[in-house]
Amino acid sequence: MTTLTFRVRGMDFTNAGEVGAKLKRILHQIGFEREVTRRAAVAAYEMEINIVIHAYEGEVRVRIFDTGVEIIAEDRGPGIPDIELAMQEGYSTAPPEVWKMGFGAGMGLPNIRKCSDIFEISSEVGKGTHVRSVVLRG
Amino acid sequence: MDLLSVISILDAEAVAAPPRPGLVEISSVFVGDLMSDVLSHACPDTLIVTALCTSQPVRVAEVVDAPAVCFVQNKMPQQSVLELARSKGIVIIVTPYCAYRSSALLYRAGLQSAVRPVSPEGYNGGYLEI
Repeated sequence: MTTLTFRVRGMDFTNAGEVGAKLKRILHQIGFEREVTRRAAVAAYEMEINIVIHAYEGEVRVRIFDTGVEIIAEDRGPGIPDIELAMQEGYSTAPPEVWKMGFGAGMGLPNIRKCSDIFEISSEVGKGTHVRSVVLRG
Repeated sequence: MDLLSVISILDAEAVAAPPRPGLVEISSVFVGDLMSDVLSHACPDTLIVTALCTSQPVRVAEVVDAPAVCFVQNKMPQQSVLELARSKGIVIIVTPYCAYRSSALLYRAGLQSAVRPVSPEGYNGGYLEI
């Protein structure tokens, strides 16, 4: 098993996207199938971007097993008051200034769920959000 | 369709390109400026057409294995974006045309939408019979 931890800062749009790209390179190097690699990389990218847009800071932790990838995003931020609403495609609370940077489509969490074989989310308003995605091989 | 043909159709300039662009194959197109939408739909061999002239289309292209990004309306990326693209092997082309015209030209040339069918019988992969 390989474990990776990425620290992510809120509003750091310069480095945003590196987590997904790094994970993709690693999975590719160790021989994961292209589709599994793509799904894990998309989930990791969206988790990182969510922290950048919505939280003050956070971490993306990855565990790579022979059977798949587990990605956990944990942030310190405002939390999500209504998770069901946040899971709806197109619903976004991203501030307008991030739209012009290409974010705020309201597809982040739905994309993570679509890419995941196991998806879990919990949040506490005023504290932060925890997202877990598992992408399985085969 | 190879990338050289795409460059020709769009009267584009390749500003970050591999030594042999004729070997880069494009089979579908996604047009958009919101990166999560691109992530939802783009796949290997997709050309990402966008007006968002930042590093994010390049990072997203890397994640989904899309080989090339086209910036519309002569939007020229900053040097840092070009360097990022070169380091990741992503091709960047710049076309004078707007997203609408670019789409029309690529569609007429036979490239399909990267948007996949919503349901097996309801949608044929974005290729309209006209």
